[in-house]
Amino acid sequence: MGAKKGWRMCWLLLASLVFYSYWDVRLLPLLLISVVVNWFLARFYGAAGHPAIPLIGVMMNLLIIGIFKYANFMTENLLLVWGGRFDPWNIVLPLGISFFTFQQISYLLDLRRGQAPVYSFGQYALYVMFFPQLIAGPIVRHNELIYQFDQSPQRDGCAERLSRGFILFLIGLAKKVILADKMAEIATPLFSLAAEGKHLTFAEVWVGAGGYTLQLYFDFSGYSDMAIGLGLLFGFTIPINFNAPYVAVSVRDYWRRWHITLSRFLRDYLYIPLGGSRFGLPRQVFAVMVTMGLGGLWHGASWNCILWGVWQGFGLIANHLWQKTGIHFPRAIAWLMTLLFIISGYMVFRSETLPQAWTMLATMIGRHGWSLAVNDVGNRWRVILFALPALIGPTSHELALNKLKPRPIYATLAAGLFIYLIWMIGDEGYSEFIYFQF
Amino acid sequence: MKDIRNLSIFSSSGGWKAFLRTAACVLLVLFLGSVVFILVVDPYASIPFSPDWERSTVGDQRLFYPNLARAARFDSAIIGTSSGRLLRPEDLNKRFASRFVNLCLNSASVYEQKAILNIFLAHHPHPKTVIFGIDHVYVKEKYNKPHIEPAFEWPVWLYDQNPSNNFPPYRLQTLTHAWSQLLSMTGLKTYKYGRDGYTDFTRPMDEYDLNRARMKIYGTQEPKPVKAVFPPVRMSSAEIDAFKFPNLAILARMLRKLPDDTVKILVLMPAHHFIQPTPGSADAIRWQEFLRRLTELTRNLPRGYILNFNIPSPITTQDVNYWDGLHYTVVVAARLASLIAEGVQGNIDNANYVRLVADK
Repeated sequence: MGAKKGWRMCWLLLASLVFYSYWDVRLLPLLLISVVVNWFLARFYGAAGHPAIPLIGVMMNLLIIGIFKYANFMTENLLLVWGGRFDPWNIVLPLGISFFTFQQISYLLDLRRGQAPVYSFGQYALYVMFFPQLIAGPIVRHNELIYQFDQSPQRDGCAERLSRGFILFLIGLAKKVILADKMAEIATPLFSLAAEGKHLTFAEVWVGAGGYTLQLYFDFSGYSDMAIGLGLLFGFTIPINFNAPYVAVSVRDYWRRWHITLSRFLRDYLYIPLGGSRFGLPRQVFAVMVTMGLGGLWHGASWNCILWGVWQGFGLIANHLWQKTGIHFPRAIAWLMTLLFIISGYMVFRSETLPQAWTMLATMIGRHGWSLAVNDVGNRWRVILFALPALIGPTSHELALNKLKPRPIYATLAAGLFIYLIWMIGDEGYSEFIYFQF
Repeated sequence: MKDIRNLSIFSSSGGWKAFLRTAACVLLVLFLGSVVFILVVDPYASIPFSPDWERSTVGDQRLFYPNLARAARFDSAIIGTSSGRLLRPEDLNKRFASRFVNLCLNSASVYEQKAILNIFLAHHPHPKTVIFGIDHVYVKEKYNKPHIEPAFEWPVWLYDQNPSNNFPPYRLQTLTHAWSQLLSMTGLKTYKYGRDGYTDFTRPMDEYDLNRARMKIYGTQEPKPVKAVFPPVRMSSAEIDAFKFPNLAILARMLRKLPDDTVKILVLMPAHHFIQPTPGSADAIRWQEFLRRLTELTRNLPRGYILNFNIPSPITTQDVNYWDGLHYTVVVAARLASLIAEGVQGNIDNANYVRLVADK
């Protein structure tokens, strides 16, 4: 079946539908309708050629995401300004809406720019719904994936792709089950205590901050590794999404390493159309702030997320201005400053309310004392220990796609680790991936 | 780093094929090996076709006690929570001419108590004696469902009496338990749980620390007197009628399942007097109403007895009898066994309990 393109695509589409339904079947019709309507608009544009058609599609996508993801937030804030009581509507957030909507927007805009053809329905549907990347990315572009549908997974190199794909998937799974979930066990209770207004010590807030910083990275990059690994198992290459972000030596460097496919999307479809760096500094500041503010909003309908995005915007502008001075910090200082900037942003991102974020940030800089007491001393060491794979050593991609050699001992260890992880998941289950909520 | 978009990096060399073969073989061997290991050792004695070896309790009671509940060597059972765990079957066997198994589960909800009793009854349709340890969980409006907390994970598959799902979950805990079971079966390791379900889960008495116990009972090392609420809370009969005791309905179902000739003993377990409902309080009214409705349950119940030990008494007013407000010492447990027999068989009143009988 793998050798016949039609069957292969049908099978993958079916698998994708089953996969999405497994997570949340309630909004499968929305996904299907979205794909069908977008494809019809693309086709209509291909026939009629009117430039407004893709824009109508973009507006429609924004409307859908606006209703499902932002309606409560926007209404609540409008009523806050105008006065009035608001009981939130019971709106179910469709899984992966931020991802499949953005992929479709990017396609429509490329179509309008003359950079994309009109694909067959099967190609387009599989591009949007290809299950490894459907729910939490990476955000793949049409010209990165669709051409690969023509290639048989059994083509030359199948054994190596399967091996490397398996190892990358395995690394992602281990990141999630061993690293991310363990860090969550440390960070979540501390953030919950802070949300309840309980006092955390200086050390506890830092442990919570470190734990969450690592949890977020291992969780999301683990998912991306699994998606890319799964893609390879089916013979597809999906762009990488993370490249050791916590070794970044500037905010700009960080955004080139963190959620790379989102950064790329924001750059090409928001920052550059807003003027980018082509019209002087004020316009660039505007473009960066709007781009990052909306990027923050993309992560969640809350002021915390927006503020986190704006904070990143400030960082990028400051980074840009500093670069113009030509002064360079020593690499270690630059790294530390960048990491502290990132962690401080996460405190806003993770906190449930802004006052909680302020309190935690104030505690981090010693405004509430310098107590080194923590509830569980071991957690301090666990955070430090778990930081090592994020800071040193090869990335999962380097390991699986470059350094891995076809030695039986590695295959044996990998198989052993895989079954152990299955047993662990059986025991403890796993928490939902953080980016599933975006 | 290689660009993963460059598909030419992928080769079909024999090395990678061997890599895949090795990984697949190791996976298969580990998977099949672990499945066979679980099937043969059968840690929870739940698989019908596993070897007929005697299996012990080597861990979580909720997983291992169904095996005890099925065992043919018993004809009587003790059902309850940790407040009943220290009742030693040996202390009761002679007094009731029965062979007891203690099936009390830590923090068991009443639903869970019913579930283990159901298994016992499925394999012992005519038990001689069943003792129910009635404590605070019966009085609350909750505890009528299985626990959902990970610490007390309820293994539905083991209790639903559906033979088609008796294979234990394929997970690390099952493998660990199978390994422990193997060690126990081969005599390489002994576990604290007795063959009759009895386990002294408290510390040795020579480690008993009265100050520590008082901290747990009173919150301080100094004993506090019980202060009656004054003026006492008053409730209308409508308010009292509105009290809900969903667990009494479960208890009623359990009692109905027992044959007429089974001796049914409902023991209201002796909590320390300081944590008993304070006189004059709303809790005390609720408690009295609970006792009234409980007593009603035994009206026309053949061979049914209620002994209320949850009263200020020589046992419950002595701090030295307790580790904390709920858990008495093994010394008290032995005394309790003889007092239960005395209360049921001798019709003798005692300062430590009150026999409750429904009004005629």
